[in-house]
Amino acid sequence: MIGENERWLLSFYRASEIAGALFFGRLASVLKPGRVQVDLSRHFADEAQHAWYWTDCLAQLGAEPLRLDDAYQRRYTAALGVPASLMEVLAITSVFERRVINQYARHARSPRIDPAVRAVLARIMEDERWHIHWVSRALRTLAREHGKDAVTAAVRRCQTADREIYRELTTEHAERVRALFEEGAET
Amino acid sequence: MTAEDRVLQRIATLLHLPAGELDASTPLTALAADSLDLVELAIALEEDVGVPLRHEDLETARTVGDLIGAIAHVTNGATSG
Repeated sequence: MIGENERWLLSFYRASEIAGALFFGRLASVLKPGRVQVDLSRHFADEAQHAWYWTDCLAQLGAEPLRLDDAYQRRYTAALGVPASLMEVLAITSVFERRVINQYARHARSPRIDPAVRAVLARIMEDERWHIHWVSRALRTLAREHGKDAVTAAVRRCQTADREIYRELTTEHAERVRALFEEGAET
Repeated sequence: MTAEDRVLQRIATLLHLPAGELDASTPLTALAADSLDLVELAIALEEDVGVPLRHEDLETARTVGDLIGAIAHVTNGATSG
């Protein structure tokens, strides 16, 4: 059985993976045939799979997912406005995917982590590396259309917003963060 | 069919609405339930016209007519630039 803080965190991961799957699924349905359509469809499938991994992992640990309205990605729209183009969507995605992999790596290093959680983190991080790869490649292609400077500026705007979002989130949930990452996992 | 009609038809198809229910004065808030709806619409229109919408145009768009104007803005820019 896991503690409430860890249950919340795994549920938050699950909610963010679901939000990502729903978002990419919708975009995949309106894209024209081509490389981005293929890669984005696989990305959509990965996110849905990740949501299942967390659901299953929580069950293995004797817990049910919490129903959460919050998901990390939703905060980007509030900070950056609605992305108006595929390039802007991918700029946000490239920053978000790096945030995810860093957060999961940090979690994997936390003391007394359950092996089931560590295994899911490792599986997902493998997929996240590919996500970063394909999004970077697509952004390089889109730079031909938008201009390299415009893509760089969009990514920088997203990085600035992301740092603020992460700071806000960890402040809002400071107690949980401390319990999980600074003093060791709950017993 | 005019460019405006094409955009109206596309929006109606995407949102599963009868085309007759839309005109240039229809508020986007009546169509897009959340920001994800608007992103999906923007990307679908980008795919259709082959040119991305400008962030500031989408940010200030309040009606379907504004969206049609935003598309005209980028397509005219693409053909003249």
